[in-house]
Amino acid sequence: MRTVVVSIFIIFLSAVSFAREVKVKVIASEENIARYLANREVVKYTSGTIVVSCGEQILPTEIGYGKIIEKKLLPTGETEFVFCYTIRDKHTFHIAGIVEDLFKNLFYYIIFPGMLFSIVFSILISWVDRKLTARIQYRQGPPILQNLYDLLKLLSKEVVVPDIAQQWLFIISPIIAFSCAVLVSSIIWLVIISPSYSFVGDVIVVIYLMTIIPVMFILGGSASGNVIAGIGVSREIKLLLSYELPLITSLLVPMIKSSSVKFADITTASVISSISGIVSFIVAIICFVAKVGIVPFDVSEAETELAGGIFIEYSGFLLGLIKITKQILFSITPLFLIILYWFKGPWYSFILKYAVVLIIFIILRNTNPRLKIVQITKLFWYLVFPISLISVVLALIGV
Amino acid sequence: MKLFKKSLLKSLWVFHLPLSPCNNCDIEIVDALTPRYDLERFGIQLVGSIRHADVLLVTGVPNYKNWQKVKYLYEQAPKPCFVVAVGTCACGRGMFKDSLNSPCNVDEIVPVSMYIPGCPPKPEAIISGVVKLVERLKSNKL
Ligand code: SF4
Repeated sequence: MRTVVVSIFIIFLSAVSFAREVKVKVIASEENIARYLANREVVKYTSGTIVVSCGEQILPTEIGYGKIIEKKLLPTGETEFVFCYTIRDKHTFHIAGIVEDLFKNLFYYIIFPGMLFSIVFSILISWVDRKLTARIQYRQGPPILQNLYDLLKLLSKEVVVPDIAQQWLFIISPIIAFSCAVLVSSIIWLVIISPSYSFVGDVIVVIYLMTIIPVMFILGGSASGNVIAGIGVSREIKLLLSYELPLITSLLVPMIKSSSVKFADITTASVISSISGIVSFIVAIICFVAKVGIVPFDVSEAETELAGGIFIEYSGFLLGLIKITKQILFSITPLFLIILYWFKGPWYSFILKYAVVLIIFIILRNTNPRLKIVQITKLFWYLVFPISLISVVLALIGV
Repeated sequence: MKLFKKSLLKSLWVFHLPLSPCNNCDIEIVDALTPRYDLERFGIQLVGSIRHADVLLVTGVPNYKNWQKVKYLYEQAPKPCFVVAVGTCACGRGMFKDSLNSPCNVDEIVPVSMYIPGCPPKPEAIISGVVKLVERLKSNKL
């Protein structure tokens, strides 16, 4: 025990090193600096002066992010900037930087694009969904905070864990599903706010995280030990097997078009303006409707025949987590689709695009009856999957 | 706590428990959820599983086969859970009071918070009953 404490202390000490602060002057045009500040990637540091050049890259760990502390307009028309930099040595950690990064990431995950924000956003979006559904059925519809009331009520209620359930799996699976949904939402929102948060392979990370959510529902449902939940689980597995293949095939198209698996690169290519883009966009919308689990594909939940199906044994807090996970997924999938296919354009057009995709979701949900699992599997494997294969081939040809 | 209570009253999820009714009360309950009356305005939803429910809508007369199951179902519901008896049958067994196959009233098995009489009660009566239940809960009489 004592050795562990001592070694942790030594590691901690060796990790601490003091950062040096340097001030550097740079002469550059306003435009270059703005571009630099937006992208945070194009600075080269050479002993006292920095050269702003937009082609070369330098690792952001070697030179910290600078802050402008002074700005002067030169008579030549260029501007002189004085930056304040924190230099870190290559081979030692900078503990303050690590702590700062940790807090920043925690802030991203818990507050702004992460948990709190995505909960509020998803509550509003699913209110839009419920209200529009109500208006389509000539009803008045719930008040704007209805989903919040539902959530708070579920949080305050008793949690019943069945005796025959595999208890820890039953409890932990909605929690993992919820944290995956929050992670997806924070990655996507950060990319929307600034493409510089994008990292290599983040599209694949998001696809995997989105797959973990139904897998966790499957685990939780089968851990509950209920027979009806068992039927729901078997349907959910078949549903997953049906839509996952055409979904990933259709998401290949934007990756092929931009030859990259990074959101930042995919956003610069406007995929939807090509034939293969449109075809795979439609396929992806159908697959995402199945992934979110709304009406034409809600066989696993099926209130009227399976009485809640896969979630039949969940109550209270855990049910609240499941509901909010589904709502976050519902509100975030249109964003994901737009980023991959349709991102180019001014920011206000973004809201319009979001509304269009959302309304397509809602109309699909309100105009279709629930399909049987046989019909779903046939639809996805025999109709949707070949179409998405064709779109991939078209994209490879370059159409 | 106040917030939780308010949110409970704004989103009552209803589980429908028929105890061998003649089916008229059930039809009227389903009628109350149709677009014409639209109970979703008040956040009321029909749920399929007892684990999701806040309100148990009981219709019909308990008989020897199912009267213990009512208790069993009530115990399975996550608390707080309220029982509403819909129809004369569930309120006081009506004409089946001395019937040989009905052991007892609903309120002798589980605590009933609200009675909605009528054979069957109109959807308006059901809605006003639910509203009265919400008001009683608000003024902490339960
Ligand atoms: S109260 Fe009347 S309508 Fe309702 S179940 Fe009893 S007999 Fe049927």
